[in-house]
Amino acid sequence: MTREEAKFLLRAYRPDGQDAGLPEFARALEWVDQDPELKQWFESENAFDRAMVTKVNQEKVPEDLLASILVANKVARPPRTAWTLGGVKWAVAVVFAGAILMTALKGRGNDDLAPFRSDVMAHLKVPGHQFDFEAKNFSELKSWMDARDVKMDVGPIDHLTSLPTHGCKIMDWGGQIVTLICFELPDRRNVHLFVFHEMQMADPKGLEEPLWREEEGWTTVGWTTGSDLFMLAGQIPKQDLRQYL
Amino acid sequence: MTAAIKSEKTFEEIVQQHYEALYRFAHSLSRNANDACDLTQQTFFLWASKGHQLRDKSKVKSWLFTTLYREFLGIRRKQTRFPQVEVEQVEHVMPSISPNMVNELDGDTIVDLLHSIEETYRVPLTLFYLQQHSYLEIAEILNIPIGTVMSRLSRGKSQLRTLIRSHDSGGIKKKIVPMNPEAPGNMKTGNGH
Repeated sequence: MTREEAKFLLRAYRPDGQDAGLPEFARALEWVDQDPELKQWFESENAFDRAMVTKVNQEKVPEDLLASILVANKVARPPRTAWTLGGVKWAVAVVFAGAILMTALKGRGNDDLAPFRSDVMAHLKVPGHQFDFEAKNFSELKSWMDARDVKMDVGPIDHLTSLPTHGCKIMDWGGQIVTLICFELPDRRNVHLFVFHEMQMADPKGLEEPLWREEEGWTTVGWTTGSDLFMLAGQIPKQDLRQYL
Repeated sequence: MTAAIKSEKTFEEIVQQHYEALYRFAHSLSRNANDACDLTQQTFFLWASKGHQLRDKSKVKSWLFTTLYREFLGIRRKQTRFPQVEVEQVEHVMPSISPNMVNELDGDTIVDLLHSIEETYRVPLTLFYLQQHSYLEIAEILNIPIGTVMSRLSRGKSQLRTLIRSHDSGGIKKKIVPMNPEAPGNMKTGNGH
């Protein structure tokens, strides 16, 4: 190693000594100890870099930046980008008009799920949304939700969990958490499961029987178990979807 | 989202730890304070929505800087094509600069001078002076070979010293042509916020 080669290396050496343990610098640093001219250069270089580090790290940051980042996170929405996966264009609801469902369920008790179903269908048909998390199996999705203290219990349709998955989404619906998981059926078609845990309903008993609807190539089925509301939706015939209940 | 707010207990800690350095890096890239804020905010927005996919949590810092840099490149690609400019060759000889010359300049001037450096050299040099990254990490963030990082640091320092000396001797000679002189402040992150 020549003196110039040592200089070249040592210009990448951070002046506070953080890089002292990196073997790449070891030989150059040995040279520093042996070569007075190089040592003088290195000290000068370090002093210059230290002065720069001080100045650069004193640059003022806008006072409101921290607050704006933290606030933005609280009202965060997914990026508005179209998204395709495996050639399938996904249309996943992001934000629903939750109040519609809440009002309908609270007020009508044993009515069917028409308002909700209609809302889900409208949003499923809108392209350009993303999953919050993508994974190929349910357990990974559940772990991700567990880490966020989001309940994901698919008790009555536990058998679905053996299917491959594409991803999940957590939505805030009028202050309530709604989760969505997208499963892939053996024939590669997809089925979306919406789960509302501890739904506030006036009379959930009236919704215990599955309520089916087929329209425009989509099949939806919704039902409640206790205070949990489930809905499956997919572009598959009713008879095909029925086997997954 | 409610769930996100509940879940990301560490989000605020991560923001607190890194936002200043990220802003300074963004400012160096965009050379515009508003754009730097947008880039920083967009980076944390992406962290909030995708950061959980990072398995090695020791890589958070690198992830943030890499993401910010990619966002910057992506935004710039969408902007009007930059006119090609000839950057005057700067002698790759280190002008003699004493640390006192740096100390005597105020921070804003130093930052301005740093921002005047050609982007190719400015970006790794800013990461270097932010004291956040080793040259290995810089190579990873910028996706360039290690030797290239060293070379750019060396040339960047050379440009910086030239600028400081020019400033000290009565005014900056405009040797370094800004990458995008027409559009500071035009950058939009488009994150919807």
